[in-house]
Amino acid sequence: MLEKLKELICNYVDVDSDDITEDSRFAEDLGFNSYDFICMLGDCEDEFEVEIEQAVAAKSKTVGQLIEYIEGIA
Amino acid sequence: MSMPDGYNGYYCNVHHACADSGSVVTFTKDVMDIYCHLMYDLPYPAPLTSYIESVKKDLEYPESKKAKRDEAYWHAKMKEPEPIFTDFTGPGRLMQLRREKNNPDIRWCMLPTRNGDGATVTYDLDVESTNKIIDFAEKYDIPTSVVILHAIRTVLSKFNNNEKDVTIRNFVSRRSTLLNKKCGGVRMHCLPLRTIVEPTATVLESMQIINKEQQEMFLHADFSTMRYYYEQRIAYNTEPGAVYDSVSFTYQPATRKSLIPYLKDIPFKSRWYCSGKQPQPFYITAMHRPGDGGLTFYFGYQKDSATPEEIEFLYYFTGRVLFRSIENPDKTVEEIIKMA
Repeated sequence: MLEKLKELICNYVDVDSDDITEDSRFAEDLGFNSYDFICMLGDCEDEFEVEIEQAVAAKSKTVGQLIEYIEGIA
Repeated sequence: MSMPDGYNGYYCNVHHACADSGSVVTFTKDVMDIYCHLMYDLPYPAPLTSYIESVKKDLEYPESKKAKRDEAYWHAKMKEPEPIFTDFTGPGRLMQLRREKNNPDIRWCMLPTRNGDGATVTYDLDVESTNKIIDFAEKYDIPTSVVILHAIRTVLSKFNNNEKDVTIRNFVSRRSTLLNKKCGGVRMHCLPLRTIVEPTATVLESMQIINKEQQEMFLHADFSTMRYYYEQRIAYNTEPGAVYDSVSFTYQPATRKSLIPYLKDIPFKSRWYCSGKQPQPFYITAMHRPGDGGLTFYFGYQKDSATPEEIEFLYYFTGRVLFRSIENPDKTVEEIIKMA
């Protein structure tokens, strides 16, 4: 899931995929703003075939936390 | 062109069908990158991404799973009880329409937009005050746009007999992917941001309500604006041109200064000027000034809909509500309204 999520992330921010880890913070490290992040959550719904609850998923601050959330609802 | 105050720059006159503020920012950054290449031998900037490719992806949207989710979301919204028009001048326009139609239960209104003759009133907020807003937003992990929206909707509520059901037409630039961010073309959609906030809710609770609604709206912002407003008219059985919102709003997040070191100490500025026409009856754009990062509020209005005095009044109260709110986040909305 990490590799797939990295692909999605790289559609949104100009970072090298190799620089993305589970500890990467969306805002501080990867440069996401709230709108970018919400839109990426939409892509995650399609990619991972889940229904994401925005208010809960938006609390994910790191890549690892988002993976944990998605795995929890998958 | 060289300016008398020592600045050198360019004046850009572009049709809004082709470009919006995001387009202008993209273009400006490209110009600065080319300038640095020519002046300081930095690498020539990579070409912008293709607007045609961006549009092609949009053409795939109607058949996508996302389109179905978006449709389900907005159709569910249209099944909610009918909104109510809250005018930035108060309840007068709605009351007048109810008299004209001899129907005291009408909840929609028409805004006079016989032609697009318009103007812009601009207010600059100082850097210190802007930083208070940003610091507050960061402290409570709330988008700056939501902090401003809370102030605007609270003022609309105050002006309309403390009406708790307020709709603002929210403009979304829809530039999230790199393809969309760097293509330079217009991608704006506008859709209603409706919030119902009890007067007993605290400032923070109000902002959380707005934030939740805005996040959902962002997620479903690819839905066609024209289709939404057409279907809304059918859902609530209103007349063509009927609206529930008197104010349109967009917030442009702070654009970071170029990281190119050569430009770090070069002062630069930008300004919007009205062409004499406005596409919206009343449109507030909040954006950060390049240079000092302070917020500038552009109030674009059609002359049939608003006057500079009404705008000044609205801005004055919005500022009072905004700063009372961030100074007293645990106070209730009705307490903030009384303080303002």
